[in-house]
Amino acid sequence: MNRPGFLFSAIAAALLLSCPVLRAAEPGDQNQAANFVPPKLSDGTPDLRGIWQARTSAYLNVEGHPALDGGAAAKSIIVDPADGKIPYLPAALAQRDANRKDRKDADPASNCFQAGVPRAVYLPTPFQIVQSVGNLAIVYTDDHAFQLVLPSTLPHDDGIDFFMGDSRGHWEGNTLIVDVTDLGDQTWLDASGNYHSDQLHVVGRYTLTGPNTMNYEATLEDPGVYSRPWTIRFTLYRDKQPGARIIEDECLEGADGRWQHLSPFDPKAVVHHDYPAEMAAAAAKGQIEPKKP
Amino acid sequence: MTRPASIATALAQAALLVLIVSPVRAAFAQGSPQQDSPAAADKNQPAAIPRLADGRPDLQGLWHNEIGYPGFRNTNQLSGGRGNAAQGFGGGSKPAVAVGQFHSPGVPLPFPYLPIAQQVKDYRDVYDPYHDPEAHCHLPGVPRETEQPTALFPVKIIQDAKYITLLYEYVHDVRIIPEDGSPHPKNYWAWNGDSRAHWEGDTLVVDVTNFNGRTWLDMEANFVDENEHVVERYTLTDADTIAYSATVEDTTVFTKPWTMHLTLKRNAAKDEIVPYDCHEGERDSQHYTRSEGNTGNKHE
Amino acid sequence: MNRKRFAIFAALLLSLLGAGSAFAHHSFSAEFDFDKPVTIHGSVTKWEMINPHSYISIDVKNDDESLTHWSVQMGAPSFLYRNGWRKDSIKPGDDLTISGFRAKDGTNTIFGQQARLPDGRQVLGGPAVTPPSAQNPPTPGKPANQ
Repeated sequence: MNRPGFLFSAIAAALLLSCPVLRAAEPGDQNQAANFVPPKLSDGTPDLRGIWQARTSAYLNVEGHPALDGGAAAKSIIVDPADGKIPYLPAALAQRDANRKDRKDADPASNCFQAGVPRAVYLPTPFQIVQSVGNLAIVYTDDHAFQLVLPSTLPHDDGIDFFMGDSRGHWEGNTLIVDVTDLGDQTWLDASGNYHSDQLHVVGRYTLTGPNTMNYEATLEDPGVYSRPWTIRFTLYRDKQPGARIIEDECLEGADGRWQHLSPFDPKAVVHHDYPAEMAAAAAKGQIEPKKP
Repeated sequence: MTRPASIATALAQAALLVLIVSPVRAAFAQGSPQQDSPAAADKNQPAAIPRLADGRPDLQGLWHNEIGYPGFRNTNQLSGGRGNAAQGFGGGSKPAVAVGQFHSPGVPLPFPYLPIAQQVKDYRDVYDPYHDPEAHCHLPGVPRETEQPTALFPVKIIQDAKYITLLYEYVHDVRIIPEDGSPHPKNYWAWNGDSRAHWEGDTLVVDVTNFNGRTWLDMEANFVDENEHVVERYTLTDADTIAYSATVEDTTVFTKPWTMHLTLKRNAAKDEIVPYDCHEGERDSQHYTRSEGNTGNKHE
Repeated sequence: MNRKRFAIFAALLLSLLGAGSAFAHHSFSAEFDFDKPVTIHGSVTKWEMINPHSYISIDVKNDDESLTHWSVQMGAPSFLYRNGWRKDSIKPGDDLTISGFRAKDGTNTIFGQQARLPDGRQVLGGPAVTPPSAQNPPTPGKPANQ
């Protein structure tokens, strides 16, 4: 390994550890990434298993955002077009701006709706790829959503919408291609109102670039909303902590009628039974006979 | 968008691009390898079960609880359905058989409730069905998710050396279960609890604790609370059959543990999970009628 | 094969004992009256293929040309999909005939068991049920299933 490349890697590692915002890939990394030979399953397909997480804040805005709330600024994860902006049709841009204005209530994810694709990929919570010969699923934390990726030899289900779409996969060399349709129009792309119609078609590409990194690239096309296809790209990082796992995520309806995530580590998650109290309340309502003393 | 630092890097990238894009479009293998189950050489011998490379039983595939399913299969369906609807669907216009009661025959009813818990069950059944967590698209919990929704909505099992993963069609429920001997966590309370698996011979044993006390056992207010402890057993009896049992104990609800036995059957090769979103469209609770004791919510 | 058929038949026979409600994520038998079958024919005003239950709103024309609004509840999209429905199977303005069971509270709400689509196909709207009155009575001495 030549010295400049090593130096780049060391600096990059230091930056990575200190700052969660995606950094631009360094040239030395690209060589290693391009040459990386991934571990394989017994049928020769790359082994993508593990717990993965994006470290970009694209979940706030895929087009990037200034520093806010103490967090760092972020660049757009859009690599095409070159200006990093979603190529909206004019009328669609107006809708995006309306979404953005109303995002506190209108963002479907803020009410615990499944995030959809590709938003689920860059959420700040990890996902797990489970894989065996002929089987692959991507299991997300949020809302226990998952994509069951079926062989691309099976046609897509048509004429029905799913929040997490309908996924078909195949391999091109060491890259997993996941073709997603039937996404409906009820999900957003981020928390800033970027959105799509039910014509959205996402082609995601997953490529291991090192033992603990994976490149994710996705091309989105939607003739109802965008003037042309556009592409995002960022790195996914393996969670190597021993005992790392995807925890359960359910939501409960709050007092304001909005649904909120309930952490299973929160002591409020558990309901401690009190049967005498429940029966006393029922008796007080006249629904059952009061308990004889 | 980064630019190549040198011509050499650009050439290397271009070469790699050619390699990646050009020929190799390896398709996924068609489903799990055990689709062709080995025929028993002798009818009197038990059918061989599929096994992974390490010799352990291969539970992978798409499964459903057999009870109730034939009822759907016998109903009059049209060719307009997808391939997966063709499994027995078609023919006949006679009314379907009732889709079972709330429980399969292998469930030891009535449950052995403590007296106070029996009171609670009877009360909730009449006055509080609105609070069935399934009515709000919540996770059904264990073992309800295996017994009931899978009569209609199948479960996909993916298995490797470290995890067994169950992906349920119903409300996209999912359990990724480690087989590494790790202990249950402390201070963790979940609808599905926490599952840890190990093998006893050819039986996968799953120990489930850490429940959050929010799940029921059915729509008739049979219930468990935060002290539930379940031991599931999955045994392939032939290539297309899993004998499933769940032993449920809950010392604040039942006088003793009890065990349900189910038969999970493999779905036809053409069947697939059709995603079941739920919460996003849930407005059922507002459609509950007064007859369900729902006094607190509007209805049409 | 005979033995297997018998086992399935026996299981189904056993399953007829008791409440016999169709599987749903909430209790049909509490919400709908299986002894009140009803068939309506009208014009679709709204169609929502959503979980956990799909809904159709139908305007039924009365003899005096007035319209009565009916609400039809059906099964989950995955059930409907497997039974031939697509999101464009019906649209507002289409004629539709629905057979099912009326809500117990007397409102114009039905559980849509079967539908005749505009293209003439007869499809299920929800898991088929046999009314309790048409089922075998519980075996004496055997604990009722609740």
